[in-house]
Amino acid sequence: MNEVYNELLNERIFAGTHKSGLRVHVMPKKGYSKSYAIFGTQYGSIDSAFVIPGESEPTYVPDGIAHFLEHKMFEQPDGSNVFAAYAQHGANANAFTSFNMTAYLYEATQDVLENLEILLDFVQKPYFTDENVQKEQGIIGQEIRMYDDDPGWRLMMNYLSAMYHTMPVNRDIAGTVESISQITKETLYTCYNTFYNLSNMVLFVVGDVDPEAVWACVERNAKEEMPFDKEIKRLYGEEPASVVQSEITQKLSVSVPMFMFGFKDNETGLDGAALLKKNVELTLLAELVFGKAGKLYNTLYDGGYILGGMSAELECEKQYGHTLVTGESKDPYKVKSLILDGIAELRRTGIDPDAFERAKRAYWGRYVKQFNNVSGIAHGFLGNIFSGIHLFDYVDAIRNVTCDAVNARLNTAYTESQSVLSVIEPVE
Amino acid sequence: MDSVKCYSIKDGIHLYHIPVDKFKTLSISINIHRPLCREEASCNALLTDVLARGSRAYPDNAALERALQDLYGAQFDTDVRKKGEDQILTFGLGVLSDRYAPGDAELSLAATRLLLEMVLNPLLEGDGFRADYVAQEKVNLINDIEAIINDKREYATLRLLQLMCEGEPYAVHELGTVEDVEAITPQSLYAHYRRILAEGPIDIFVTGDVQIAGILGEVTSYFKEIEPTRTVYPKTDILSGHRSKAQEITETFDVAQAKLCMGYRTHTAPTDDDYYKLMVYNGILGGGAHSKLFLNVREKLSLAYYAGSRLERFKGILLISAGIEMANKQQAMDEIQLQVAAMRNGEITEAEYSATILSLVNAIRSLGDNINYLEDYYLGQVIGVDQVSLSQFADKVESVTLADVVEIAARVELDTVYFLTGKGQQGGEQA
Repeated sequence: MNEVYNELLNERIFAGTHKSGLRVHVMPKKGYSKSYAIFGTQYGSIDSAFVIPGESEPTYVPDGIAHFLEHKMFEQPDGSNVFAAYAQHGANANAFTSFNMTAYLYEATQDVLENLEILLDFVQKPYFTDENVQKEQGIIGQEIRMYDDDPGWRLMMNYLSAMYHTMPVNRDIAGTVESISQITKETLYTCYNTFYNLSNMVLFVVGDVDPEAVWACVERNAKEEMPFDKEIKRLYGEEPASVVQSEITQKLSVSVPMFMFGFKDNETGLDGAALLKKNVELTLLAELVFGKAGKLYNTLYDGGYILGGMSAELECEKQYGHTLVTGESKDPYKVKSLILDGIAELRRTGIDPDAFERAKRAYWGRYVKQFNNVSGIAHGFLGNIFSGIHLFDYVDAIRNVTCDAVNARLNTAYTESQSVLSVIEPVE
Repeated sequence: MDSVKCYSIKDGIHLYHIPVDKFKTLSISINIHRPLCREEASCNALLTDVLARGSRAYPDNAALERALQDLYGAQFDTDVRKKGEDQILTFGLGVLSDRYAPGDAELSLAATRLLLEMVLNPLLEGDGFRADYVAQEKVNLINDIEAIINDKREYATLRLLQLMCEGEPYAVHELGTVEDVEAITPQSLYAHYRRILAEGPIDIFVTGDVQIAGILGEVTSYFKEIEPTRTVYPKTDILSGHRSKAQEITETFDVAQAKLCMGYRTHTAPTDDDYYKLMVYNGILGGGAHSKLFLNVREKLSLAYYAGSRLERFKGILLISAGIEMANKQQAMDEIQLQVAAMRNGEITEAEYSATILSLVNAIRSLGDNINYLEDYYLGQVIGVDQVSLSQFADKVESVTLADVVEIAARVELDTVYFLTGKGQQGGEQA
């Protein structure tokens, strides 16, 4: 394995690619009791239309299938449950599906390699039957219902559905009770055989581990599989620059209106260094425009327009992106207009270079802090690697970002006609 | 307590240093202990918000945030929580360790001063806090109290605990009530602030790799004028006695999914040696993916996405909760009670038992890898709830036998069932 050392962070990550195409990264963390391993595939809820390598016709599968598949991977051919196997070695296991990836993980303070074998084994061994597919429909049905009552989740899903025409982030990760009822064991195998090819996957292990031992474990357990010689072609449709609708509202049992207001980013198609550069610039821009140190935040807070604060976040993926703020307000429409005014004002004055330097300094601190926790590291690493970004790449990207570049972003990002306001209002 | 150094600043004020060097950051927190009660819960909650709003040195959000950015994005947080019937006001600061701040060896001292300034040099107007800040934070706090219902899963648990602990201080929410918040004035809040500093006790935690002498010097100097009169921590009694018949309460909301919560008395205090047995009992019954509730309520019967149990250790309570279809209440309750009965009858496999022990030991050992959990554990030790070091804690859990678990099972009795359900007709459609 090759070692990458970063002196400023005083951290190192070892990397190697198995002959199956599986990318393996290991980060030893001295002094930690815990190890954290995450085995991910670049396959999320947005991948429900695709062309299988070697085929010419697209395949269409029901919404929610990536998440359904994640649940079903825990079923074993001998009827046993993966959690029970982990439990014998004291590991705490979990899995999640996002828009862009599916990942299986465990954390443990003992038996690192035994647990790693379990992880590698079950994710490479699908077992789907008509009965176990049907059983899962009940459980996931309850998961969907739980999210139906979650105002924060509804706020975001409504926002995304108003922002995107065809990009499948406009649909729930878990699908609907109706869409998951169409899932069969055959469609699950189709998806598994396409997206769980090891050349589409990454293994990351961090904590009290020896990189060579991890590598040897991979050599012993990774299946003898040829990497695809072609890419999996993912079909997301032609997303127009416009939004579907600029405002969207739902009534739920909440005490005060919640809002999410954000702007679509139409500069898509970037990956690797170019995507990272954009990400760092937009992160700083969001901090400078919406952050607590700026004028806009304090106008909103001191005026009582937002209750208890407002936070900004951004998505910066190859296929889509947006920047949003979220909070609670008795008058979200007034908040929207004050935000638009604040942005216009900042465009006139430009970003204060001192404010930029402070925001950059703070960004560095937050980035370093991420290395405190093995879970933070693992999720940060996996969230970037599928876009061609190494977690250490941020060191130079943060160091090299300029105020001019962020000012330039200010003039192209945050266009009113590409904005969406999502509101959850109280019932009655 | 292993590897923690205690410095007595004076009676009622102690500084604890946990000198771990594996983290990138240093964490400093000031904790003020108060007996949880209706009369002052709202004042305590509002006080943390008003102090966070501005101090003499950093008079508004923007000034504070800029200072924090200069400290490499340090984070200043306040919190009001309850550990049993000890209501703790916490003012915390997380900052990069000096060695990760290029060319700034004084970062930890500057951060310490900022924290002390925020807590001890507030913005005043006459004999009260700044009136507009108090007025606005009252609105925000009332909003927070009203927003508790937004998360139905959390709300259902809270209601269950309130119902079980009716008439006891523990039923008081850490944010207090809307009407109590409304009654607070800038003057009454400032008087309250003076009183709690004068009473204490106060604990300061410093977690991370730092030269402690400089921090000790700053803390000693800032607390020079303050002489707390209390040196003991508020105590909590577990729920005692019995209810002749379990109470059952149903409330309706506009929701798609119902929440079933069942509360049990365990007659076991966190300071009892038996507490470790109760932890194992809870783990086998509902503590994770290897547990009886997960495997039966979720995996076997597909009734729920989440189904599990947890301990409310300060009050000797065990809570079971599950999110289910409204129409499935009886079936879910029956299955849960069947599993509780199985525990009592000793129907526990060797695999269930050993998986639980390993899972608990794993969780205990993992605490040390998280700077916040580590600090919280030692705070528990200081107030006398966590009796032993982390490694002794793991040993205690490992020494629990299957027979011990069955012995505890006999004490666990159903007290209250709380059901949060929808307004519509029973049972939504299901594919």
